[in-house]
Amino acid sequence: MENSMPHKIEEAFNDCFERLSAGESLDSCLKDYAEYAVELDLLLRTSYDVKRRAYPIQPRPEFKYWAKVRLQGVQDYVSRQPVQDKSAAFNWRRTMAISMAAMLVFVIASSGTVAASSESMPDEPLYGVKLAVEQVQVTFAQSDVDRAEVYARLAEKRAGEIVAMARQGKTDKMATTTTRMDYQLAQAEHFISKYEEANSDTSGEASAASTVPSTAFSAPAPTAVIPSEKSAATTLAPGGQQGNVTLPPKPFPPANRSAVNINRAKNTMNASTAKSLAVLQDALEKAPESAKPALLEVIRRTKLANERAQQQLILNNSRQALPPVIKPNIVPTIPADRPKYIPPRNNNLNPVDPRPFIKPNLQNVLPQGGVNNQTDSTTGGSDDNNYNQTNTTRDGNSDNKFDQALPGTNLHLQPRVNPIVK
Amino acid sequence: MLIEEQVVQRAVNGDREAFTYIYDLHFDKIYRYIYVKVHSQAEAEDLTQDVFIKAYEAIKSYKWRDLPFTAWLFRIAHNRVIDHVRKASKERRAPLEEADAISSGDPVHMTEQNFEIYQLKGALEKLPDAQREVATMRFISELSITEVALALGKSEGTVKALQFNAVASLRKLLYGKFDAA
Repeated sequence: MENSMPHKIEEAFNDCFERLSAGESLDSCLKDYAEYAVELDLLLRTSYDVKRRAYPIQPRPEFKYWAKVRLQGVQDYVSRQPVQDKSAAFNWRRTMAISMAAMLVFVIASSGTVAASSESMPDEPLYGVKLAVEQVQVTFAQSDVDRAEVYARLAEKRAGEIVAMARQGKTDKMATTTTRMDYQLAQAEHFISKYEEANSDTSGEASAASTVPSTAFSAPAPTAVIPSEKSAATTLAPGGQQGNVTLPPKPFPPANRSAVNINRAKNTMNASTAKSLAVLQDALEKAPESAKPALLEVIRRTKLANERAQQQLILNNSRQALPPVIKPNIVPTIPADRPKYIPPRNNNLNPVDPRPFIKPNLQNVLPQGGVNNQTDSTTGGSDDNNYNQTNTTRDGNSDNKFDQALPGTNLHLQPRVNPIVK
Repeated sequence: MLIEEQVVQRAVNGDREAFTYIYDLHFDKIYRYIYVKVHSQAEAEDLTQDVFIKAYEAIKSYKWRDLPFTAWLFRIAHNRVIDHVRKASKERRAPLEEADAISSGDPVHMTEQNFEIYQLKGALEKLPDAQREVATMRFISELSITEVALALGKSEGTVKALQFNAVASLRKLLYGKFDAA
C-alpha cells in the first residue's frame, strides 16, 4: 500500500491539475481525493501560482514583428534558391540510403519474412515489415512522378486494410490506418505538384504541340486506359485518324514525355481513390454498427482526396488546351552616349570585385616622415573604415580643398566622402 | 488536433502561409519556455528566432506519425537551449537579469510582476534538470503530459512523477518559510 501511495498522489495531482485547467473548482476535485486533500491543495495552489507568475512573460511586440519579418526573409531566400537536378547530380546520401535499403531488403527477403508480411494487416506483428518494404519501394522510385504513383497504390492498399479492420470492429486500427492513407494521398499529390513545377517551363509548349489528344486522359479514372508512349505514337495519328499505315515508333520529346508522366500519375491516383471509395462504400453496408461512423469519416476523406485529384486533372487538361507561350526576343540596345563605367578605386569596398585587397607596405615606398600616422588610415592598421575617414589619400598627401584649416581656427572640415563616388 | 495536423502537413509541403500560422500559434509558448531558462531577454529573443528558423529548415523532413508537432518544436527549442547554455558556461555567463515583463502601465504593479518572475526563474534554476524541464513545459508553456513525454523522450508516468516532485520543490523554494510556520 505504501509503495503505491506516491504513485497515486502523482496521478491525483495530475488529474486535479487537468480538471482545474478545464474549469472545475478546486473543492470538487479535492473531494475526490480526500486522503490527499491537504497536500494536493498546497501543491495545486503552487502550480497555479507558477502559471500566474509566468503569465506576464510575453515577447516584446516589436521583437515579435521583426522576428516574423526575418523569418519571411529566410523563406524568400530559400524559395529563390535554384532547384537542383537531383537525378543528374551525384547524391551520395541517396546512393547510400538506397544501398542500405537494398541490403536490408536482401537480408529480410532471404528469411522469407517479406513474403509473409505482404498480406499482413495492421493488427498483425508483421505489419511493420510490410510498411518498411513499402518505404523501400518509395525510396527506389526513380522520379517524383513514380513516387507519386507508388504512394497512390499504397493508399489503395490502406483502404483495403481499413475495410478489414472495420469488419473486425477495430476502430483504433482504422484510425491509424486512415491517418496513414491520408498521408500517402497527400504525398502523392505533393510529388505530382513537385514534378509539375519542375517541368512547368516546358510542359505548356510541349502539350500544345502534342499529338496525344487531351480526351485520352479525361476518361473516368477507374476504367481509364493509359496509352503507353509507343502505342500513342503508333495508333493515334494526328487528327485522330487511324489509318492502315503503321507509323514508325517516334519517341516523345522530353517535355512532351513529362506531360504524359504527369497525366499517368494523376490517372493512377484517380483510379486508386475511386477503387478505394468503391471498396469502402461496399464495406459500409456489411460493417458492424460500431465501425460505421469511423468508416463514414474515411469515405468522406477519400472523397475529398478524389475531388482534389479530379480538379487537378481538369486543370491540367485545360492547361494543355492553351496555346504555347511565345517569348519575345528582345535584344537590348546600348546608347552610344552611355557614360563610361569607372571602376572603384578601393577594391576592399567593392563586394563584387573578387580581387583581394593587398595592403601596400608604405614604409618601404615612402620617404621617412612622409606619412602622418595620426591621420592616415592605412598605417594605423584599420584600413576598412574609409567612409568615416577624411580626405587624406593613401600616399599621405591631401588632395582636396577640405583639408585646409578654417581661417583663424585650427579646425579642419572633414566631410563624409564615399570613396567609390569619389 | 486534426486541423493542426492538416496545417502542419501543408507547411511540410512548402506552404508558407501554413508555416506562418504555426509560427503565430507557438511563438509565445516557445519564447516563455526559453525566457525562464536563460539569463537575459536578448538571449531569449535570439534563441526563439533561431528555433523557428531551424524548424523552417527542417520541416520538410518532419513526419507527424513520428512525433506530434508541438513535441517536435519543443525538442528543437530544448536542444537549442542546451547548446546555448553549454557554450555560455564555457564563457563567463551573465548574472540573472532582472525580469522584463510586458508593460501593464502601473509601475508598482510592473515592479511586483518583475520581482515575482525573477524569483520564479531563481527557483527554477535550483531544480534538478529533469524537474525543471517538466515544470517549464507543463506550467509555463502549458503542454499536455503526452506532449512533454514525447518532447523529452520519457514515459508519461515518469513525467507525472517529475511534475509532482518539481511542484513540491518549487513550493519549498518559493514559500518554504510560510509552509514551515
